[in-house]
Amino acid sequence: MVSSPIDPALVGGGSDAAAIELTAEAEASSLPSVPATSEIAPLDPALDLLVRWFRANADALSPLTLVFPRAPRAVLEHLQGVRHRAFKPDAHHLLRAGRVFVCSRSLGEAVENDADFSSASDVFTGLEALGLAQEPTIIVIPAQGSAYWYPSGMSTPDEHRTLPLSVAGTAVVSESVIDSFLDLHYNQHLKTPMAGTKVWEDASLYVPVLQAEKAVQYDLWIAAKTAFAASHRVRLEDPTPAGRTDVLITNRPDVSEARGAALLELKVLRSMHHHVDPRRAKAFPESENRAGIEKGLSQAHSYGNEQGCDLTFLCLFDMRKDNSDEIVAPFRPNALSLGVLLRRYFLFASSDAARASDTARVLSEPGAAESTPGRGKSGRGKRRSGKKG
Amino acid sequence: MTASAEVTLGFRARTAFANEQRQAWLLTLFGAADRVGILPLGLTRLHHLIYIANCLAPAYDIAGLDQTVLKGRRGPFYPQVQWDLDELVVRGLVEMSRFEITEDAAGVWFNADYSLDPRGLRVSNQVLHIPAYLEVFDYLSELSAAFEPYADRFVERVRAADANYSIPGTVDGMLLDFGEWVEPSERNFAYRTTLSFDYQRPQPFSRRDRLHLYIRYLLRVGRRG
Repeated sequence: MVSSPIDPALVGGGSDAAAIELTAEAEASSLPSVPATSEIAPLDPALDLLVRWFRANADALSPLTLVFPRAPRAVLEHLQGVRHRAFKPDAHHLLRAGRVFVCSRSLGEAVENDADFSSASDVFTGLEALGLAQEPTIIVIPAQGSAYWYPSGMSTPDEHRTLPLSVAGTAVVSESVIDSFLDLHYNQHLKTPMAGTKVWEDASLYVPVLQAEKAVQYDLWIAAKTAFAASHRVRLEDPTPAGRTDVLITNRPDVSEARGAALLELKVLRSMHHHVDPRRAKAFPESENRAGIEKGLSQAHSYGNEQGCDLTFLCLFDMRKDNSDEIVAPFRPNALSLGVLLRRYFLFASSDAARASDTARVLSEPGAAESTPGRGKSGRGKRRSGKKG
Repeated sequence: MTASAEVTLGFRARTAFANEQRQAWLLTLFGAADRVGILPLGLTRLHHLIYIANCLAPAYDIAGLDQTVLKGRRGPFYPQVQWDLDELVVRGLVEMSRFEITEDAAGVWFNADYSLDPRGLRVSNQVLHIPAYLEVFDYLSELSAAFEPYADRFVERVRAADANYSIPGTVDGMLLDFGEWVEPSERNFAYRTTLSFDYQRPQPFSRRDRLHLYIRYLLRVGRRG
């Protein structure tokens, strides 16, 4: 197989060199960011659309709903309402608060239901009447600055994911920007079992869900997409010759002010294996955690180089029993040599443990007793978050 | 591709797929199409999609069903695939609807819509336990997703713009070979097109990107601006 790029003029056959160049130039920024097999694939085009809609409609009172039927052709064919074609991100002005839009996966087609719904419970009743309550749905609640993704439909509310739409965007991706983004995401979604991302099967027994890394990865991608999508392409599991990158943030060629590219490689450290019956879960050897860090360093280095990233992060989401940095210390010299920024985020198994840890840290800081609230706040910074940089 | 994958899938049509392998491949395609939400697929679109899947398979380093196609006025059509499809219908794994006899300038023909029966979905999921088919599933899912927004224009664009099907000087009734007896890297012009999107670009496109770019390229051929 050929691996190096071919000059479009030399492709041959019935190819069209001008169309090749034009396609690469014009389409590079709108390519899908998520594999088609991923359960969150419908979120990819939808988030682009909804972030734009929310910026112009943050004060809307009624919810906006997008439904993605699993068999869209059959559903869209029979549905009554206003039909929209090529329902693309720049068509956000067609969306209206209070309405339900039933969409194909790529948003290439949508039917707008002509009823108005003033609340989420109204929407649920309406979807039940339409036989769509079990179809994947996104509902935007403007007053909350968030949207909610129900992959199994609104009839299964426990499975929802929160999509933050009000995150301030930035066109420059730097080390401090990524660190702030990761800190915020950690504090809001991962720090405690109640924070949002479902990573624990049974936190009290330190047993993770079956695919904890995937759960972290999906939510991190969602957050990164809403934070950086205006200026950067945020890709998930992008296949490269060396393997699959976890989250890749590259500047969009069509946005002149976009700067910086970052690779986020993710690993979960744990004390226990997953088991559907958490009481029967087996211990996870610390040697495998160490092997995971070593592999992560190597992956981050090679993927980052391959993608020409300015910044390469290896983010360790630590679900072990003990909040100890000892496991990471031996790898720091190699990380430094390889140019990989090593970060560890400790996932507390309870809110009480998180609070106790925060309090202990504040009290152990030199001069804690004398610090004013203002100085104390700035001094605590990252340490408050439980992150070990 | 690993040696075991080659044995499992058969390496190109040169070593000929067994019926079961072809049907497993087809069920994998239906599973992917179901995941992406493009079912039911009409007969013509289905054969055109299979043709493009055959052309672009080297981009994922996997085996397509056939590395040739007979150029015809109805576009790509694979008789062997149709036999397999009919058998899958009879076995209750694929569902056929809206069957109709039609007539056009080329004579009597037929049309039908195909979707996956729940039993077929179960078998399709079981096939994915074979690692080589999991890779095929990834590929066909991505291709189906690339096809989905442009389904309406896909058939016409494949005939008019695909780099293998529209080779200047080729006429109806001619067998087009893009890998059966020739080297795909030299004579599969659709695949070669996917490799040219990167040319003089600072960052490489992923193989996933290349599929989407190729389908969008089909819409731009012969169009300026």
